[in-house]
Amino acid sequence: MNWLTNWSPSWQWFHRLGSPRWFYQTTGRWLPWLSLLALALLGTGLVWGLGFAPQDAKQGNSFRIIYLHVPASFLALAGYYIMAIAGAVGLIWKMKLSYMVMKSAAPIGAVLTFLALFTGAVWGKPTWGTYWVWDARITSMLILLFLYLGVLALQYAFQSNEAGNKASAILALVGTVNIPIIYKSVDWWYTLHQPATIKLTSAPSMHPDMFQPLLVMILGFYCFYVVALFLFTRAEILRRERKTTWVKELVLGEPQS
Amino acid sequence: MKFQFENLQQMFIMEGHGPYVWTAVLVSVAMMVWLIIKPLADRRAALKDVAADSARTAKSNGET
Repeated sequence: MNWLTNWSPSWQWFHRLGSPRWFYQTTGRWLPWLSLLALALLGTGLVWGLGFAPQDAKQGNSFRIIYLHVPASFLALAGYYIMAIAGAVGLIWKMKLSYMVMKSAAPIGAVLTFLALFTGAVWGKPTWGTYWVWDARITSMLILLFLYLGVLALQYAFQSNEAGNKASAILALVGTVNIPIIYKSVDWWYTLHQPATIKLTSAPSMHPDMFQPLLVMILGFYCFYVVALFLFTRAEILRRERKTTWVKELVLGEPQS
Repeated sequence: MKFQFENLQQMFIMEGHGPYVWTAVLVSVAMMVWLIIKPLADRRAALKDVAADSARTAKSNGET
């Protein structure tokens, strides 16, 4: 717990947080436990949701898709905050690690947004009778997917890393206007997509027997997200820092397979 | 809490909604597994790169 005792006299903790080496070593210690937790939560939540939660009175069994659709959508949005904040920190403090986190958040966010759209589509077919409608919520989620892909593409569109990082960060920050639109879309435009089931400010409009496994799945997705973000960032750290002494020492100390 | 289906086969069919539910599950699991495998493969490739680099340097140092 050195970092706790050292942090007050100076900005040392902040610099350490920005050190790729420190990040690599610390996350290496956390990863086994986080992965285990993610796996346990996702496994429990999925079996509970698919087999044991009661079926919906109106939608029948198709409602079970909620156990993937809602957590994926949650993390698609939460991941955007992570990416935009990491981009902002990179722009303001010129922190290398922050840009690496931003770059790593893009593919994960894109996949989760795609999953939110995909699971929504296969849920829509038996429920609404169609895979796709240009509903406000769905369209704004599609824009979110394009924003993630745009950040990813900008990383490779420039000769220099720095220019790519800056461009990605600016796009990520500009794109945050889309986030409140996504949240509010179901209230502003009353179209096909149903309003939020879970709100921080009020009790969920869902029976506890259905809600509890959903909560487990959401927690599982959060843990999964952190694991994936750590893994992507660690790979990026090794790639960018391959000329440094600490990475060389790391390789020499580690038996190659 | 009780199991909602008579048997596993019924759970697979889900009164006709099975194809939708299980497609969602399979695609989600596949893409989430990819999100884990991809960075692990990248990490491995990066480590190999560094090892090859070190070996080259060591060799050229030995020659001079």
